[in-house]
Amino acid sequence: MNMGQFALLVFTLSILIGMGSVLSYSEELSGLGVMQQVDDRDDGDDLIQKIHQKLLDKRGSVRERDMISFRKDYGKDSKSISYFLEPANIRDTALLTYDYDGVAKDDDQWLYLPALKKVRRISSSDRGDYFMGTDFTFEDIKQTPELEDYYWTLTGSKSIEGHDCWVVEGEPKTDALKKNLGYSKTRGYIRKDINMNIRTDYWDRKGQELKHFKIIEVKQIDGIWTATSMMMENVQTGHHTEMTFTDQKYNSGLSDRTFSERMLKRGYRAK
Amino acid sequence: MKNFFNGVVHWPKLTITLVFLISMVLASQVQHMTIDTDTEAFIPKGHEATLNNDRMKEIFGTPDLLWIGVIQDAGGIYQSHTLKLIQTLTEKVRLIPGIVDQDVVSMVTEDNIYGTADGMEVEPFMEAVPDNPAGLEKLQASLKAFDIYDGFIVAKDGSAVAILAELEPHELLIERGLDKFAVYQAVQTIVDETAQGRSEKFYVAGLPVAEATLGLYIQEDMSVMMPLVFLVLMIFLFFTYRSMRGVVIPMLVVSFSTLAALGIMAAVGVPMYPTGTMIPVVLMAIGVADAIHILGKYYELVLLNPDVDRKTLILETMEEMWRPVVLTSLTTAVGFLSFLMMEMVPLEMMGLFIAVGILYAMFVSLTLVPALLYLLPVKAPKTLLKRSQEAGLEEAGYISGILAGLGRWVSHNCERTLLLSSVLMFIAAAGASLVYVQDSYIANFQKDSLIVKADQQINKRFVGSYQRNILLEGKEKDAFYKPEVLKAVWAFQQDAEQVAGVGGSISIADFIRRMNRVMNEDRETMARIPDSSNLIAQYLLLYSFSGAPDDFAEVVDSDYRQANIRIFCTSDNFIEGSDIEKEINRLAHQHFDPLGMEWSIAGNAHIGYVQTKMITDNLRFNMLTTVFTIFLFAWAMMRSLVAGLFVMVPVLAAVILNFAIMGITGVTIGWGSSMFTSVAICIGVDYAIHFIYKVKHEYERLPDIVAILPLSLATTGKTIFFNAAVVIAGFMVLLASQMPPNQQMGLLVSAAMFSSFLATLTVLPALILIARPQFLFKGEKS
Repeated sequence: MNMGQFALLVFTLSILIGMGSVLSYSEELSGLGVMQQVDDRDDGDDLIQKIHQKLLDKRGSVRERDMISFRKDYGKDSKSISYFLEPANIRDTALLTYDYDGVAKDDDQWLYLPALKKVRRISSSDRGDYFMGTDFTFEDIKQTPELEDYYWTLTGSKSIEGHDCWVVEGEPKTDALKKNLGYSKTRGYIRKDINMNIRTDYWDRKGQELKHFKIIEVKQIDGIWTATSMMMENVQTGHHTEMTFTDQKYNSGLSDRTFSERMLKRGYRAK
Repeated sequence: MKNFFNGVVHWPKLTITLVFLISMVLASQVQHMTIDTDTEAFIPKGHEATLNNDRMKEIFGTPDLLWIGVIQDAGGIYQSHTLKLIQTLTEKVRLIPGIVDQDVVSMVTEDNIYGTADGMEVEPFMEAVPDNPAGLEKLQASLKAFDIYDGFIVAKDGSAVAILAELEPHELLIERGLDKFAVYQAVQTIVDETAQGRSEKFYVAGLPVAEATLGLYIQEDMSVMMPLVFLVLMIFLFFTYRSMRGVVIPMLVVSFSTLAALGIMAAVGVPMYPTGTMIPVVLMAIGVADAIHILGKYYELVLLNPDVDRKTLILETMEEMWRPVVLTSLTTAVGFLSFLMMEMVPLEMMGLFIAVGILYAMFVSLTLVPALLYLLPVKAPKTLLKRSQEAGLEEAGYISGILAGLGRWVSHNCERTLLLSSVLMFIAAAGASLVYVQDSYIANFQKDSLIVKADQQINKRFVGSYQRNILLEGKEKDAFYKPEVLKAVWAFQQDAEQVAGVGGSISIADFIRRMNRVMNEDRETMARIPDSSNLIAQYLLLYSFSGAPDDFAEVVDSDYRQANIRIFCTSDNFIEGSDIEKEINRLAHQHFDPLGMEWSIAGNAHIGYVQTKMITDNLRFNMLTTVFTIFLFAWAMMRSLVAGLFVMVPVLAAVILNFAIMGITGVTIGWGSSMFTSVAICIGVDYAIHFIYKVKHEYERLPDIVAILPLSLATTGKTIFFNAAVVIAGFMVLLASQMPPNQQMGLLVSAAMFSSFLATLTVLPALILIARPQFLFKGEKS
């Protein structure tokens, strides 16, 4: 075999391999693709809603809180302000959050304490930290996790309560991330029709089952699919958190001033 | 009965096979035995202390902590390489199966709460290990400033760091195929690996460790000491009888009864408590007796009638011996059954199954022993034969001679014997009066053992590994948002920390105080409870943005209605404990009663205290119950009040001498020693019964008491002597045990045997001569 023949052979091979990989394109979505669709789901440009939080421990004791919350998107970033309405001892306490997309910049949070008449900045939290004593971590409370931090695998489809769902498993990419998030694995069930994650199971760093997240009720409000009731249960502690959302108003054109320190101190006044 | 023994001797092989089979079936159950070294097992289920402890565990989940102490005496722990080690060790401990990951506590996991120019920060004291002097200094200062952690997770002098771990609840461990022992071993292995080539010293302590180690020691000790005791018993038996028969027969009785007792115990689902070690021990001491007495009588007859056939001799032996064997067994068993009144399950079970074993030993002695004797040929040594036929049994051997001499001396000096004994009792009384109550869990281990050293180091450097908890209950939800309630808690803590033996305390009030301080420019004077309930609620809300939902779960319930004040004590010794209990009770009344709040005490140190108090408070009652039960039973069985009283003589002598020995050797009354005392009472009874029966038997044949006494001493007395000597020799082996309780047991059981023996051979004959009781001298005037 001379040099020319050899080159020809190698070239033919390269073409074949190239075409092979072209033709073997997947007819299915990848795990990341599914999660991307979840992330891209329309959730309105702004939203006003009331939130009812119910914290239950394994002995059945209950702690409840009511808030009214305002959110506005700024491209991939968003700002929100929430006023506590109940219980009485924290009424007028208010929380302002600037939520930045990606992991490059930490979110900013401020809390106004009426009893102290002072605004306090809340330290940038670990994503695995629990949010306001609920069973949700800061990571869980977001619409979607930071996609780039996990390896996503689509493991199949399953019908959940009559809805056809993708089953996507996520694994934090590094041990540091696992520690930071507190999870070694997640398994989400995503409704194919509306791209909404309606269930997630979590495993802790030892691989033991940790939490179950479940959306209990979904409604279409102003044309947007909205979870109106959800819960997170920690199977290890028996503690669980229920959240219900009411009085939603999408795209009402909230002004930027809504999300300022001045508004934080002023408190919520029902119109 | 005669027919029964006829049957046994007629079908010896069948008898042996049956007894063997029954014993093996029972023994096969031993494999199902479980072990329970939980300290709480000693306290009855419905007891207030257990209820409170269960309630505490349910609400606050504060099980006992496992302490890992890392000590760096060269330059303190604030050095990067030491801190790095703490970081990796904490991480490794968190990942151990059976350890509750999120409940591991160290400077790596615990959050500092501190103020910044515009807020409150909650983050671990040490996320990254500082590598420069400024960073190290800052870390030290932040730990020093947070008063509840200073001394808790870091030694106050900066010489040591603690890593605290909690074990998962028992049921969960079982589910995962683990147990306390396995988890403790895993921790110890990781600590040992980490310690390789390090300059720091590592100690693992805490109640779970003590419990796990005690459990291991029980098993180890059982497997090492018991064969040794067995071996020594066998050697002594061999030298006593100079035949395999004399070794094999008593050992079979002991082994079969021990296996049967433990087998039945396992089959009915009773776990092995620390007291369970006493079962084989006592059966060894008592089970030997039946066989020895039968053997003794048999040899006696062989010596007297060398030409009579075996069958006749065996039947005659059993005819004379079955009554005392049954009577001693029943009396001793009844004595042990009186333990069922002791309220403490491990003691009750010990008494119950010793009684079971004793009855089984009786069964074996009355079946297997005559059957074996029938199968084994016997030949008395010629010299002994000659001497006993020429000079009577009194001269059959060296020991017989001495004992016969003793008998003669006592019969001529009965008053003197009694007076001498009285002097001994007076001296003993003086010794006994030195005995006092003192106990601690850690005292179960040798003073120079690793676990005792770990306990000392950790309790010297930190707040203390023994916990008492005040469970405080408000009248309504959110009671612990109220400033007046939190202020009372804080005042109580300040007072409690002044009590000697209290190293520190933690409550929800401490966290609120800390928050108030950091929200007020970190001014030290602001480390107090604020006056506004709303402010407290808002602090806690602020905190919840950085802290975990269960950060305060160990100190307050989620309704803020019930709180747990954790008080750390540096020892679990009883005397110090009772002072602390008294003071804490007083302070709780003082601070919480005016607010109308309910409170109760729980925690491992409290449980230990209650347990020891129960045992020692009940010891008087228990001793008297056992003595009285035996007395009543002996009275009923021998149909004579005086006989019952006579049986008591060696028993009471044993108790008094035991206490005297405790007083002189500094053994205090604790769960171990009080148990041995109760056991010792039951051991001495046998001797008296055997002796009284012998005298009675001989008197019916030859009504000359002065002649009978030396003979009885030379025969039954000799058997008693052998019995005592063999068992004492065996038990002295226990002095070499790893566990102080076993050493005490060796000492006290030996002492009981010795004093019973002495009293039976001296005081009892003297009493018989002086009192001339009706039950012996029928028809004669006393």
